[in-house]
Amino acid sequence: MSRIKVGLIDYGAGNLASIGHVLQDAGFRVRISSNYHRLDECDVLMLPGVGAFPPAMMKLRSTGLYDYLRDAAHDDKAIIGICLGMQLLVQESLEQGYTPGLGILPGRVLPLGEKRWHIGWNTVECIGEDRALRSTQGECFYFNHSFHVVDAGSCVIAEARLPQPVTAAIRSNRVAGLQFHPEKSQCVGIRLLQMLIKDIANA
Amino acid sequence: MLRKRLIGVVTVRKGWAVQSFGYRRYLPLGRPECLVENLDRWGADEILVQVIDRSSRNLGPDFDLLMRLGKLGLETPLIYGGGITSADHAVQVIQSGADRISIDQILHNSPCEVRRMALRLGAQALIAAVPIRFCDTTWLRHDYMKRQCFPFDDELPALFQDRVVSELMLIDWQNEGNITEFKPEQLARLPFTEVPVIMFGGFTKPSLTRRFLDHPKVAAVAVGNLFSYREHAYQDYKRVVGSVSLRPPTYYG
Repeated sequence: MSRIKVGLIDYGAGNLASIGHVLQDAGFRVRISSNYHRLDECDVLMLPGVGAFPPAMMKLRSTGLYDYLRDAAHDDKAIIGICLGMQLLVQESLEQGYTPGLGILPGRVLPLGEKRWHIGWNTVECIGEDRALRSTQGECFYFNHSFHVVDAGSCVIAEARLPQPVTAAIRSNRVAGLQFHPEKSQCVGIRLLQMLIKDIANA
Repeated sequence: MLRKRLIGVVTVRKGWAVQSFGYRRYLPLGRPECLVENLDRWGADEILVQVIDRSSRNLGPDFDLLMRLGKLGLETPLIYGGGITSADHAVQVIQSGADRISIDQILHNSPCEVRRMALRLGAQALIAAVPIRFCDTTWLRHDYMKRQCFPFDDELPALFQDRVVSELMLIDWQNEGNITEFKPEQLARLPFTEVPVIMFGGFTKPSLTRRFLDHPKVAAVAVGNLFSYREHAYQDYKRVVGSVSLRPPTYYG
């Protein structure tokens, strides 16, 4: 049986080599690209992201990946967004002013509020029956963000606490987002990535 | 519950990982990649690589080192500090494998550039590293290039107020490699409010580390020299610190 191929979307806003290595060690084939044809050949697309929402969206638009990702989601392609990548999947963000997002999943990105930062290891509580998240119920993952997704409704599948609840993961069918960094969450993060990628690829 | 962090520090000078004593005396340890790999394997909460001679030699960030670290496939968050003098540098460091950056000189020389970094990377990626002394009842920051201590001006507090930088690393540079003389009560004298603090420099005593971790202002304690000589040194230290605010130590393999 051939290994699942993960397409890491290269739009200039992420640490691709690092996550690429981790995915390879987790047993996946990895392709890093911004080329639509090469990404089409992949089973799962991964949208990583470190940085701020507006410049990231600008890069997606200028590279044509904005339309590509929206079309891919419409065609039921499996997509996973990580950290900023998860935020880019939703409708809009108020980071540095108003910026529309990809609009693939419901939700808005707002500042965290009184607790300005969510930096460090926090427990992730699964809401609902997502199998991959259930397998790591109550484990700690590494977070590093100052804006968060709200109003994602029934797409929220996991939360963390600051102590107020913060959306930790969202999913609708074959599109998922993780606010934390599974690739930097050591063994438990790798285990979650393995389960989630296999689950979403075969959904 | 959000945990506090015990950060493992690797100090690099002239391309080698070193054990540092007050940033004045150094013992060679070996290749930085080996120490970083150990900390990753031991499940450190974060790893800080501080390359201490890049700014003074005007060399910019050590991208070669970052590339070598990138090939390790680290599964632990990596903080890089050393030689970052522009927003472009900062972005390139993140794209080269770091998850966050630690900055010192540029905070005071060019705060506008720090603001540009935050616009591109987000403030959660930026840590203000400040070598510091506590004199009478006042905190003074130490400028290692000018070799002088200064009182805090308004710029650094403004960077925190404006959500440009996310955390403040206070470095007991005089006692680094020894035992810190800082006390948790002194944190009340900081000219910053609501700023998460990382303590670094001389945190060799587990009981003192625990006292600082119990302080509400402290988000993390960073430790370097202690972790260089024994297998599982990181986990053993975490176990002895025994703070409930930390993730429990993990022994793999």
